[in-house]
Amino acid sequence: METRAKKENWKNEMLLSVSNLKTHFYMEDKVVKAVDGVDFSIRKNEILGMVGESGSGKSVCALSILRLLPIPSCKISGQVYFNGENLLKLNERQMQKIRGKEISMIFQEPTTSLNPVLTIGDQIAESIKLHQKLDKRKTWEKVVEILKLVKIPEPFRRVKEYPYEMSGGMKQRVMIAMALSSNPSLLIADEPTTALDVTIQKQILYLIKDLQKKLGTSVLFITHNLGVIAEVADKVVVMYAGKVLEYAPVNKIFHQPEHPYTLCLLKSIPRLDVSRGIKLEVIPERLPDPAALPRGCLFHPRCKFAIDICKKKEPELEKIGDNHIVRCWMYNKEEAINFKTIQETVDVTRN
Amino acid sequence: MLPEIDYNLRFRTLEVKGLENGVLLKVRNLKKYFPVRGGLFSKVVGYVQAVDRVSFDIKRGEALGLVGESGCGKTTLGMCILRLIDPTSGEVIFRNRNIAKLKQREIIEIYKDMQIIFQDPYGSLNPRMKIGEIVGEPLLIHKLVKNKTEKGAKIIRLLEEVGLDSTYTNKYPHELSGGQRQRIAIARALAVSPRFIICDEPSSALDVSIQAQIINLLEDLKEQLSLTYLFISHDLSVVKHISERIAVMYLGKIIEIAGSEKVCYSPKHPYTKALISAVPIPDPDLKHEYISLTEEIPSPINIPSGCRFHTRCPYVKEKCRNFEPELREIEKGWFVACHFI
Repeated sequence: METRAKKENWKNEMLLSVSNLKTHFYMEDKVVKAVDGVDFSIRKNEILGMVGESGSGKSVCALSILRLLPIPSCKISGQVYFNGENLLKLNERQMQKIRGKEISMIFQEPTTSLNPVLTIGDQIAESIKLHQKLDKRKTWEKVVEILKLVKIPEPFRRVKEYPYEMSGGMKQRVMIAMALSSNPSLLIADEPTTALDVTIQKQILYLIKDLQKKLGTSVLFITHNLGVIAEVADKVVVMYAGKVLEYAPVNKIFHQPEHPYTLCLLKSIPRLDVSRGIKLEVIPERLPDPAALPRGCLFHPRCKFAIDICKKKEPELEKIGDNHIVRCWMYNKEEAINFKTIQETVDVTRN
Repeated sequence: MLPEIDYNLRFRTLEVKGLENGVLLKVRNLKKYFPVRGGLFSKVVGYVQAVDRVSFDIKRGEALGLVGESGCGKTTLGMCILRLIDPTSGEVIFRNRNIAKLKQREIIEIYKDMQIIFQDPYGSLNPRMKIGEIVGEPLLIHKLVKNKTEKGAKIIRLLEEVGLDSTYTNKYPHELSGGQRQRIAIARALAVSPRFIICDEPSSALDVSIQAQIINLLEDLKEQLSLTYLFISHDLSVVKHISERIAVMYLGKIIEIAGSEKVCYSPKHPYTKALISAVPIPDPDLKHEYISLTEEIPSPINIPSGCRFHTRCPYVKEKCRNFEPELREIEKGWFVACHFI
């Protein structure tokens, strides 16, 4: 009884909940910890923005949820609960039913994601045929309907076109159409606008937001662009070197960021709405090598607030407010002070 | 063909007004048409009008930003100025010499004064050369050093200038990160002590936190060495940050050019307005009006008649379809190419 009630609760609230997700790649001589203990959740009807620089594990995180990574060389552990079901425990056939039907994905480069020798109508029909039992005519009607949904002009003519005949923005619309063709409850968008021009980017962002409202789909929106995040997301996860550093509603992230990394990142981007002459703040050094991560807090070599404890011990995620979680010693002062006294005693006794 | 407009006449009047003072680079009616071949005997069937009658000035010590969507001819324009591509016609006047007319032998001379930094630091450094050789090569080509010790010292000084140190001289490009490679590309450009540098999307291939490092470095160098930049980028926020004036390009033409605050806060041309409104701003509370452009960018092979923006312009009128507007000065130093401004 209790478990059923729990499941009901799941259905009402959460759509996806990822906890302690680890994806490690085993190379010949080293282990690359691309994702190393990531926790986050997505509610129904919500857009979660995931932001981070290259190599922070954003894409690997998405691919791990869908289990699209080569199994022998990589090991995924942790829990990925989707509608109350652990995706990592499913077998390949069950997983196939989830992919494209319950969770679909759009990628960065629409040109390489589409098959160049099939018309776009055929490609969309393929995904409809796979998940819904419709006859030929109905499938075709559905294809046209879905193209109308993503606002492609003249859908009757466009279904017969090949990808090379379309522009980048149109191709990305086709990708979105394909992803939404079987009404998934979660859409994973991995840098969907990075390859596009700003004017087209805005159109695609509006389209995604619009469809999300219309269809009630949840979205995991991955990008490196903070401006884009501000535009679409309800909540934001900030990733760095395979770990979550901050999780908060979008307003909090942009107006009261608590993690030093988020803070510096926001100050380091040139903004159109700020007058000229203000110098950008620089985060020194480079991104850490995922095969040789620093000890202690992952961000400490580049952090201007770093103290002793940051170099030695890794901080845990601390809840500091409603829906606001940060991984930094600043928010666990007790432990930090404790560490300092221990360190001092060690130093004194050594002398 | 469209009627030729006498740009020279208009700019001559400007020069009389005293704008000539302090001008480092003058570009007049610069044109680059790439032939499109097809058919049985590879006949020329049309032209890609990558850069079409572009004129502007860059003053000494300023940074002029050049923005536009992909395929609008920004990079081609930069390359024509440096003669990395031969322009079809037009003038590029730098230190009283028309670069567009120089002989191949003479071009190398101008590279002592003009340099370029490319977008992709992974493609612009020779993987078989050590960093020391890469940075030292311009010194040898232009015979700027007398002996090995002088060269070594100069290389180290250049590396220090861009925030690296002497340990890098014996490394290969593959050992460096993207940001470090871009620093090497900057050091190489600085080796000949140029006056003018074309920065072609120097920070686009880099991560957010590294981008700030490179932008700040370029700004500091500009001040220390009194450099002049032509800063090409598709990212308006970056261009606005670094440049005093901005030129907006659309399908091979400059359609608006003015001080950067003017362009960003009170744009006049409908295309500039749309472009500015589409730039994502990292503030979730700021909801500004977004001007949606209907169609996507037309092909530069079939440039629309009249105003080339008329197919996407929300305020299009009959006149726009038939007559091409020219750049007009609507305020001092503010040029817009639109009939209805």
